[in-house]
Amino acid sequence: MEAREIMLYSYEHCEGFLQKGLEGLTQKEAAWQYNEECNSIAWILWHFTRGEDNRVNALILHEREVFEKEGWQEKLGIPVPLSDRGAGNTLEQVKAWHKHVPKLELLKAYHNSVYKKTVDYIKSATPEKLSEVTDPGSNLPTAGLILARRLGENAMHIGHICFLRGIQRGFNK
Amino acid sequence: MEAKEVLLRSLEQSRGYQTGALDGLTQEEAAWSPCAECNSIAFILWHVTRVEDFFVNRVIQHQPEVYESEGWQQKLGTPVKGTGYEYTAEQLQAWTVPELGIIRGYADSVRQKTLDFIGTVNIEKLSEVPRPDRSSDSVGAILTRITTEIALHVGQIAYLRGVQRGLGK
Repeated sequence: MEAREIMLYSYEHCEGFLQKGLEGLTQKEAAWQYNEECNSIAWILWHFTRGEDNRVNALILHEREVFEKEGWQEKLGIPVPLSDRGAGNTLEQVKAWHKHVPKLELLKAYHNSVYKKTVDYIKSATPEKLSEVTDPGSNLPTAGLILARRLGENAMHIGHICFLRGIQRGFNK
Repeated sequence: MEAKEVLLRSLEQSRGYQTGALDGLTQEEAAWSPCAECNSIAFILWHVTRVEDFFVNRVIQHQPEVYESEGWQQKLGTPVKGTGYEYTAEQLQAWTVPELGIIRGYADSVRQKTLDFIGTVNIEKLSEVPRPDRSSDSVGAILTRITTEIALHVGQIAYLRGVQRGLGK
């Protein structure tokens, strides 16, 4: 069993939970915040997809992010720079983001585009490719370490989304 | 990069976030949930540990769960059977919340055994099917699923801390 099999299975398993978490959600449910210091489903989906897009496409593959290449900045209309992917956002930044919540269908479409690219990458990720140093000098210098870390971040955020659906809809709805 | 390194890194990563989310929590915060049908931090931690214990010890290694062999069921006072999986709302509400410190003790013990086990695992072992009469899942597939679901649940624990304490506290 290779590392890429474990990673692909983990990634697809998480995607299953994400799709269940998002299924049938209204725009209102996607934008809902438990309180003003809490992230909404929409914000979380944007944030972790931005992170994945950056890590897989820019950092590992040294290509332009899907966000930029496919014009998602314009389509989503979020007024933050490309470099702001939500990490370390202050309360003011979270509040400002929630003034213009993109349509859930557009966020899902962006996510799906990034997902397809990441799946293709993981399938191609031989042990040699995963050992390639793509971010020298960092504490996660190889493609494998960056990807593994990313998968864990995604999983935790997808857990948030599922929980937020549950708070709003109740048990198993 | 070897397959088992992916598993070990996943566990290390989620454990780091888990520790950060749990450190300093009061019992009240651990037991709190945002709605009657929602899981608390305590429940999620217990559930995820029960699942890890069940799969790593009983399913994969065909040995008693730590829950039983180290007397954690009595120490926790939680149900003898089950892992919390697919609990109904009624079962959730009837679940008695143990002390957070005891749940963490159980989690530490299970995790140590899991890490010891994964340390021994080679490529052949990952492909073995531990219960062919019940499922075609290999050891590798089972471990991937549980490490992924652990991460999902740890995310929820961290979120619940944030809901109660506010941003970054």
